[in-house]
Amino acid sequence: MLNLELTTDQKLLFDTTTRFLKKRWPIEQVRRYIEDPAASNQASIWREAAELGWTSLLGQPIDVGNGVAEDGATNLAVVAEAIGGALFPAPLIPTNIVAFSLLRWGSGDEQCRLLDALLDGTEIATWAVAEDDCWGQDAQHATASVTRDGYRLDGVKSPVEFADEAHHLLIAARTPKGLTQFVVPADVAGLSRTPLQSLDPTRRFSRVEMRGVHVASTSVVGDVGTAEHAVESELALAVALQCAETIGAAERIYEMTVSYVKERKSFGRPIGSYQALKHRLADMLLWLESAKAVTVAAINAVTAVDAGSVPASLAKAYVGYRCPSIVRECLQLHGGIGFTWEHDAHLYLRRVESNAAIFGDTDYHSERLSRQAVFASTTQPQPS
Amino acid sequence: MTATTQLPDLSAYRREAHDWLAANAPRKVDTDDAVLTPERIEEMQDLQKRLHAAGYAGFTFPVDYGGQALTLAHEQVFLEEASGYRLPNQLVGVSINILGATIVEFGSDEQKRSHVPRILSGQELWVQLLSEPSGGSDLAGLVTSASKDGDAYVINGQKTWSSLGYLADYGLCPVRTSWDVPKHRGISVLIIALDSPGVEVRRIRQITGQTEFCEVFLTDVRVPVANLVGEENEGWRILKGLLEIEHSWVGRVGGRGDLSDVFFSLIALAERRGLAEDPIVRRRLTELYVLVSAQKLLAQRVSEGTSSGKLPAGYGSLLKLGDSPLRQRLSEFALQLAGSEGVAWAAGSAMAQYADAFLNSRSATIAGGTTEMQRNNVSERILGLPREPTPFAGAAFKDVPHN
Repeated sequence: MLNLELTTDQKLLFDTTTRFLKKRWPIEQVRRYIEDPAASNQASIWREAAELGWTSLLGQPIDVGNGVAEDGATNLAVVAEAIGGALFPAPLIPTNIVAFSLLRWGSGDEQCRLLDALLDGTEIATWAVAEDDCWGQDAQHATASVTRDGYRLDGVKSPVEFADEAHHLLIAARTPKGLTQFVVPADVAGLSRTPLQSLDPTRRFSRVEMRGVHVASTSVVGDVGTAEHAVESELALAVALQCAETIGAAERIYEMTVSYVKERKSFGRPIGSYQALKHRLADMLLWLESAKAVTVAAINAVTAVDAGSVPASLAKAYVGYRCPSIVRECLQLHGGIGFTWEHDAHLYLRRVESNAAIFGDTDYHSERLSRQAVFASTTQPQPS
Repeated sequence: MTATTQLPDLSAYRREAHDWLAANAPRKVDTDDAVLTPERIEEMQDLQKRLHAAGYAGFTFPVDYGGQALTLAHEQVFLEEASGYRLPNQLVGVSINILGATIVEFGSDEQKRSHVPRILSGQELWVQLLSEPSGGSDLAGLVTSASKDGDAYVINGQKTWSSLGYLADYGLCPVRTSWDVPKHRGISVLIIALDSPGVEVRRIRQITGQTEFCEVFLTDVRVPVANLVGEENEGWRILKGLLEIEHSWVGRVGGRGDLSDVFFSLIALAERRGLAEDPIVRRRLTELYVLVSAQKLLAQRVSEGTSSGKLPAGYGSLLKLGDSPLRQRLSEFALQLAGSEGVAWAAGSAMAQYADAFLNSRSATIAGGTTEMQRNNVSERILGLPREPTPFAGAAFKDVPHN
């Protein structure tokens, strides 16, 4: 279990979510989805999940611009952990990041209607943030030039998860007044989405290109020129939730491996009785438990006011480094069977390796930590 | 002591601790070394007495035995505030946090009343008499024997690697009281006054050149039956409890200082050496920052999880498994940052500390149970993996090959 401090209600949420996924998304469904997404009913399961509340943990449509529920991030992380264990290809993070943004900074009837559609599961939205392997406010090069009745967007965001299925995209672009966020309909003229192949076939990414995309002023989320803070907050939430999901996946394959080494025999005894293997499993537990500890800190920091991005970068730097190692080791301890398509080990490997890169890898977040925490006193002027 | 007692609020507690330390404790200085001179020992004993009187010893111990009945969170707050001060931990840390805590958990009421308050105030120093020259990791294979003679046990054998044994007043000593049962079932734990006739303590020189750990020779030493901790032949349960207490403490607060303090001393060193802008140095320090931060958060998770019962015993070993090698890495990198001055320094220079800390850190993965044993503990006790098979299971200790 990722979070040891859950309330009774949160434990219930975890149990309900896990049971729902066990019933509706057994591992055979993952394989069906890989062969043909449409045949797997993934989209209708997502609508059921929205009815269960996966999209409304951060707030209600009425709350547009009013902020997010206090325990929203903790609750979402509970769902993310369960999704990771089940390898469910849900737009949980993209949709909730857009909901988060609208709840924090949104305004107007149009954005309220959009939030309503996201929360009841009839529409999905995605967060188009990445440019050239950068994921924070520092990397936003897309431009938004002022037109007579709105803005013209140009630029490329890639990879963007669920872009192909999304009805709306949240995009940051630079206006003359500074970085600004827009919610853009996916079918707007000038916006193209090119599906990408992916290491994790339960994850579908696209390259999003904007050439002269015209949007109205009402599509601006928050105040013009103030999105640097918003993008950082969104990244912190995305990272915290993704780490929870990664841990869900890593823990599942780890538990499978511990069971396997107790049953599998070599040279007349369970392979799990050999110290050469036991010691590696002990090290992996250290990494897994430490990954949980940094992730809980990142989730708690999302809830705390102005906790900054250090806890999220710390979590991502650690989880992105250790969790792939755990899953690689799990595959190794399975021997030949672990290298087969039929065995599930590679499905977890693909998910965890892919997560390690998305939203910034260990190097990316280490560089941020280096500036913001480790050498903060030497490279930044101290407030007097 | 009663359930209705209000625990002090953490931020108020922090302020009080902050003020008390500023008024009473000496600051750490750069030239501090680990050598326990007689003056240093006296200073530490005096400070420990005042710490206890002010309520800063035995944070989680019961009030009846001189403790504060507070939480680990209070201890953590105090230690954070104390990080810049030279506390007597080096002298009394093991005595209080391992042996005192073990007596609190397993001792008789009489043993607790007569020893624990004196341990907390630093009047009694205690030592673990666990390892024997013929066996370290195989603790249950111990061969120091005790036989009953009237109202006393008579002990014969030899113990070793007993840190600060030459200063200690009492030793907690597992002995073999039955040879006719399997090895784990014939062990008892005794409290030995180290000034008893027949006890000889000899100091051993370590790789650092210091002589703080000891071997202890026990020849016909008579120990009153009242000094038996728990039941006769049920000592293994107490030893397992002691080791869990030890690993959890070592992993939680280190006994070797706060990890963050060690880490930030590396940053300061990099700055002094003009290496703070070097991209490779920055990268390696950031990597260590991530590992140190994760280990600290893990320590918090495990402390809270084990004290609330949400995590089972065995997690103390997991903490130590992370903590000890990480401390070595920090010392290794400090020596590297120190450059040639780290290995060849002017007499009297503060640069001597890096070689000393590096050498000292080699014990982190041996003392208190090797890292290999922590891996066994984690894999067997938490994961439930099978032990390596033994052909002697169930046989009387006297009939199996032993150390």
